[in-house]
Amino acid sequence: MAEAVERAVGLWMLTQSNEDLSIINQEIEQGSTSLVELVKILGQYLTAEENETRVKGVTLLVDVVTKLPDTSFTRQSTRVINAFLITKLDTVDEVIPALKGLLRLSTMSTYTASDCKDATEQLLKFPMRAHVQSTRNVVFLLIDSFMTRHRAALQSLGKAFVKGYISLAENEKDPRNLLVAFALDRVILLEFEVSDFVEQFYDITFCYFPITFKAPPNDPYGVTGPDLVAALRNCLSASPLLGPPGMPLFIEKLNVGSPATKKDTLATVAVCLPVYGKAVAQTTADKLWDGLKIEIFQPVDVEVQDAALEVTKVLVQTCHPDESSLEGIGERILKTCLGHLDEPSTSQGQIAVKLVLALAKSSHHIANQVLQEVVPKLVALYETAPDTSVRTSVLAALAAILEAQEESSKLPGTPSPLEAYKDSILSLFVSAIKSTSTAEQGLKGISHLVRALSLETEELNFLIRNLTNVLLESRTTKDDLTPETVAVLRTLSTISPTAVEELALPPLFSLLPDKPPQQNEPEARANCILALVALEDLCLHPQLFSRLLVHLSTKVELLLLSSERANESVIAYAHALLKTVYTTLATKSLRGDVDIPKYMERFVPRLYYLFFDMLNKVGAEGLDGYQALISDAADIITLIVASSNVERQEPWVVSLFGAFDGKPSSITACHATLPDMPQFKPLEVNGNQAHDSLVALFTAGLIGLHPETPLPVSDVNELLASLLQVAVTSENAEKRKALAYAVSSILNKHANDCSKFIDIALGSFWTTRVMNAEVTIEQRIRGLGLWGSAVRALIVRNHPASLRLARQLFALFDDAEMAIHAAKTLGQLPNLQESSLTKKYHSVVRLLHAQRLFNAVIAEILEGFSPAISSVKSNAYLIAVSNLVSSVPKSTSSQAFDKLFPLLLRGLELPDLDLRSNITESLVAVIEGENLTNGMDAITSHLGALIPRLLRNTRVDRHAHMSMRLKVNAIRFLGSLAEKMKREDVQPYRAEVLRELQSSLDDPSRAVRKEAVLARSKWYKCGSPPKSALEG
Amino acid sequence: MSSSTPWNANPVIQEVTFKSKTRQSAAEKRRATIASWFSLESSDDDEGDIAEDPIDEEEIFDLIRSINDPEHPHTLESLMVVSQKQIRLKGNLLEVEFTPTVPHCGMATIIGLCIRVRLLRSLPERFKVDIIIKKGTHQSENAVNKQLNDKERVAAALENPNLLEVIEQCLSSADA
Repeated sequence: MAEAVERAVGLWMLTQSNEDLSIINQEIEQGSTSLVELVKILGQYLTAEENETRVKGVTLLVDVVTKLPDTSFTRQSTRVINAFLITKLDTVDEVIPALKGLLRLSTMSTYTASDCKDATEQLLKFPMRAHVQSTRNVVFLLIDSFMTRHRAALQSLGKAFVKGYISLAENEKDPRNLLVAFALDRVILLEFEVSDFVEQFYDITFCYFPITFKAPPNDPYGVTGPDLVAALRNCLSASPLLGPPGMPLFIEKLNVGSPATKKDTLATVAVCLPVYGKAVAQTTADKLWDGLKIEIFQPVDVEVQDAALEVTKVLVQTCHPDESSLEGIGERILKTCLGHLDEPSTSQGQIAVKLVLALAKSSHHIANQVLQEVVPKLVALYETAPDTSVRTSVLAALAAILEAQEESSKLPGTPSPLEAYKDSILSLFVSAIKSTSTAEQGLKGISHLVRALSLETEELNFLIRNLTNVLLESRTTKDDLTPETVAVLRTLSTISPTAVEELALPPLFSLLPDKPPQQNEPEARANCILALVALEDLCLHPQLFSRLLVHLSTKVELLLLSSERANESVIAYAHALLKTVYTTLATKSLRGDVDIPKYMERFVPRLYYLFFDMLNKVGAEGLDGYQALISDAADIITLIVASSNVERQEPWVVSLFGAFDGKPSSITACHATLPDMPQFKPLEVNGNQAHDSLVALFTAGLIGLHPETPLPVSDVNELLASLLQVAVTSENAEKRKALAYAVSSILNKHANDCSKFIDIALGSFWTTRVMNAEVTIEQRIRGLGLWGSAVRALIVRNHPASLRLARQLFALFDDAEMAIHAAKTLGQLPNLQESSLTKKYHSVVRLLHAQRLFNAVIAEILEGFSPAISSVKSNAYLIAVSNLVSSVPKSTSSQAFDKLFPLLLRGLELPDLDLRSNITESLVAVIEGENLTNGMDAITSHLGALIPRLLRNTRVDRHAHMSMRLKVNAIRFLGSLAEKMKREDVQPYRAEVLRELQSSLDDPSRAVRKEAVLARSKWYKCGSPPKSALEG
Repeated sequence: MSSSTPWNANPVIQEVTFKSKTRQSAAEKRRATIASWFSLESSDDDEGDIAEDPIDEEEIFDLIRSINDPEHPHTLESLMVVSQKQIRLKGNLLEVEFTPTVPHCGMATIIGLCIRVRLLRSLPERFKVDIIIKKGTHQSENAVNKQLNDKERVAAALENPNLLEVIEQCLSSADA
């Protein structure tokens, strides 16, 4: 077998082909020959006189070694080859393969510490300067490999290793090698005895600082500047020994460097100082602070300032590690701070506050000592301040200090150093909120104070009383701070709900009279408004909300049940009260509060009772004037029902269906007794019209149900068909709307059980109620609306039948009377805003449902649209597209933007302002959106047609409905054109746009003027360097 | 322009935390909504369009408050160079007064020109605008006032590309 290897070796020496190499490797791997055997065969080449042959021999050996798996090595072969390769390190030509071979060997498990020692001793004599960077790289990698695997062996070499390594690393310039060298430096500094070599280490590390290296493009090794900076920073901060020689260099770089150097220096010092230790920090502190002071008080930019503040913090921390006084540098810095704080409203004064914050973050005892000086000074300044600018600055400073303390106050066992000044700060803030010029800052301070410090009951009460007074007085002040004041009270209500309930609520409640405020009582009305504004924002805590609900609902009941028939002012007042309950509840629901479901039993029946009771009282007249109140109640009911779980909903829905089938008492049984009302059947065709308006309350109790909540009917299909039938025959618009919502919600949640309804009932409804030309147009439009809300319920859940149903609408596009309505219905199908179909109400809403419909419909429209079709049809297409584009998510519509753009452009000339507003709004969304790529070209190629059309739309008559929205959007889009399009494309239009938009600067509406100013600014910017600032 | 020693190295800064107007209008809107409940109107209606909302001092102040100072990274509002109280509007006559931070401030003309250009670009042509330095706050008050309110001189100054660049720089923050 050895012959095969011998032959392959011979051949390789001639050809250097990989084939021969792999034959040799195969033989060794299979064990038919060994490495030692190979060395023997190679003997003649390895010892040949001729240089070239010797190099080839070594190369072959190394190539074999590098490709062989670990298992092919024995202890003996490793040792032999190692010894052999070591002898080659001082040669000229064989050294490169020898190093590579050693690198491979060093990773072997058979490679021992003594092998490593032998190799290292030789390696340390390596003449680095004589070799190119790639060879030097292998040397570094080899040492790195030794360092990882045989660190103890290297350590046993003692000073000889350190000295030898330093001479290897000296003068290295290649970034790739430096990256390895820096890592080695750090390990040696940390784990080797280096005290005799500090100066040398300083030389081979600090000479690189600061690194300004920028990687050349296409750098094959991918070494970046930040990599090097980080690696160097790690080794500069490796040993405290580097401190004494290093710090002066840092200070010098800080004083004379460029902003980039300063940033690097500051970041490095921040890491190094804690390592260098207290002694070094103290000796250099004064000089360092002199440099830092400049960067802090006359900063080149904010980043440098922040970095300098960070270093200051570290410096003080390092110099004063224990509980001792701040004597020395800490005191000096503090003095500087206090000096600038004499004038807290100047820019230096405000920087001094930043410095205080940085110091306060360093450690608890430093924070203590700094704040002990600063806080009393600020408090004193406030009291003697000559003007408000000083006072507001003091308030802002204290607020910032408190804010910084919020974090540390969360740690247990460390009382904030501010606790000692709580009283004076608290009274200072309270006096601040009593004066208009300082109220805002004072409130801000209080909001931080209550989070940073713990308040005693009496202090809490004091605060709550004062804040409530501010609220009550806000009627008379110009600057309305109600939201801010309430926000603080709300924070307090999480600390002590009872105190807020007892102290803040009664005065607010007392602003709400028992009788409705009349038109001619502006003050009473203002009081009501103030109270409601504050209450709806304040009463989110369960305890407060419960109190609010009881108070307001009792008031509503008294108002409505005390008289026979309520007049308009009573209804308006009750409306405001119910609306307040609803908005508070809605905020709570958004926050995910868990106390809402309990009102299912406590409050919902009471609401139903109220309306049934009123219905009994007013008799045949019905509750016609009460729509506003019914819809308020409906909102509240829906929200509470939707927040409840299936277990709560199941009994509920049974009583709901019972109540609307002649037995109202089934809902309200637990609350109060109601007589049976056998005629109360508003869900049947030909029911009493006086009961129609209460159908909204049926829907309200229904649309928040979970899909899993079983409905108390034998067949959902029949229920849906009958509700649809009742709806289409009703003359009451409110009732039709309520029923449409109910149908939509039920169908959406139970679609899987509704195939009968979808296939048969909905089909015949379409032919008899929508397509049927014999019914009146009004009836057909009504039918279309109901049909649309049923189909929408299927669209949102991607029901298989939904697209087929939606496409049916195209059949009406030729019908002159119905086309517009059908087009609008089609375009509004994905619009869920005016529907009960939201996740919040547990509807089944599938991802991308709008996109699915959009793609299908747009494809059909683009195919059908041609100049040949009738104007009725083409108009219908335009209307459908415009509506669709504005009712699907912007990301969906912008995908097809390039194809739709010509249609939208035509849409800008439709007579309907509302549609044009929608189109411009979509255009704005597209151009301001993130991926404009496919829209860019479309817009660019149509600029000539687009800009004049937009400009025309900015001149719409202001009395027209929705004209403001249209104008704002058109102008906004024009502005975005200047910003987003290529300069050379829009420049030709610059003068025209600037001129035309001038008239919008004088528009009666402020929003339009504001938009025009903005748009013109953008167009001014896109000019070529203008000859005059005013051209255009 | 930005020499190493600024005319006023330590100006007084007034903290403009967030535009009180935005906050104010949110609060007002809330009140208006609740007020509308009392008259049983639905508040979501955008019918407010038609109401006249003429240009007032506040709107003009909004146009100039965010202009940057030529030598500090602060706005004219936060340096208290301009304020709403210093804007007087009577029909089509507008007077904007500003206060340099120090009496020897060499930037006064530039600040005035920035305000001038901003208003020329943002107000309808019907306005006649006077821009003046607050009495007694600058040593060459009259000269600067003359420069700022003379059409020819303003036009001439704006022909200077370097000056124009500084002005554009200051105005770049005006829409913020």
